Amino acid sequence: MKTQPNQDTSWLRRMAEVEDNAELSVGGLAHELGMLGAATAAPTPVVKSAFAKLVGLRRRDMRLTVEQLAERAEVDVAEVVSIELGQLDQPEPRTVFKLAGALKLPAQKLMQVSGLAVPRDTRFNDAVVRFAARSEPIEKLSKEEHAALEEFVRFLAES
Amino acid sequence: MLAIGVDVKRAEAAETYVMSNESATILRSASRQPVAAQLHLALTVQQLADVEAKWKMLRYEAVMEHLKPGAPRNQIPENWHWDWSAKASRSGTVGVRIMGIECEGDWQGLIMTASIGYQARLAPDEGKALIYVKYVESAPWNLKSMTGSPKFAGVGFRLIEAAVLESVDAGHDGRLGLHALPAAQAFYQRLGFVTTGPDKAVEDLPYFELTVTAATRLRNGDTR
Repeated sequence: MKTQPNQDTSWLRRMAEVEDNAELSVGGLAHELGMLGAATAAPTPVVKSAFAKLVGLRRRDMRLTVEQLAERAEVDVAEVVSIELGQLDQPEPRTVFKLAGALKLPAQKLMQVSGLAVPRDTRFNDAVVRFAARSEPIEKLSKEEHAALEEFVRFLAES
Repeated sequence: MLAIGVDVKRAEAAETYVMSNESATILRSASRQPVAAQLHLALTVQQLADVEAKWKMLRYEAVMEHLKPGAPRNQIPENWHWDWSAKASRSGTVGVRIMGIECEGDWQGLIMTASIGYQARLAPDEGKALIYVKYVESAPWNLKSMTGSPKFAGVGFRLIEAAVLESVDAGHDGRLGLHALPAAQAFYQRLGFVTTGPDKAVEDLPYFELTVTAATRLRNGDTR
């Protein structure tokens, strides 16, 4: 830097007094991530289910395995598995943020779907419920699903 | 070959500039005695991961301490803390920068700024470019909300000062902008920031700006 910090100690003392070891709470980044007005209670089952399905379907749509998604997002495989199962009450903001990047979804919106941030309009909630309901599959299992299920059932039968 | 050599040198020079440090002092909180510290103008991914590892557990303990059964959990977002190791995806984007204060082998505080896409709102410089402060955080052991006896003082001031210096170097004459959460609004006002009031675009958080005059006062050690 061409310019230098002020080296005057008495000035620093005055400024430190003003600061008073308090948090400097700046909100720009929190706003960007949709963290303001963050949810204080655990998300409802519907929200959890919508978040789980969104992550799962989006991943499959992008033809990624859970491992590949976890790797791209730099999060634990176990965390992704729990999310897709709708078992995480409060996912880490970082995880959601990273998943948004890997799944090419808007981070702020995904924060809301994850229950970490409160959406500003009711239309959003309606859309979440609709998605949770409509994305419940009724079609036949795909070959891969069928094979995985078969293999696991066989394993259960054997052990 | 010669041309390549020159380019490498240039790249090295640029690297040194970006990664170089400035010496700054902070205060030992109890004695108010100055301690030598380093202002780092850019942090590596590894350094950010170290910060996160060290701060995370302490924050967690402090939060648990405050979260006694029945206690209201409405501290969020004031107590919301950014995961600094998520840096790769954020500050890797153009114009975003993370600076830090290091003292006695520990990171004492970090600041994240953006230099693209923000403009001054206050006269006489309306519309001119400025540095926007996205996030600032002091180490948990320097915060009253986390510990009964904070270790160092003046870290936050040094971080804001660093943003002012960045603004000067970028040719914005020290202009800064930020949105402050309620707990910190008095602090920014005392530093010379002026608020334009609640900003509808940012969840009604008040917008604060440091004009060139105020920035000069802040740097030179002269507020009213």
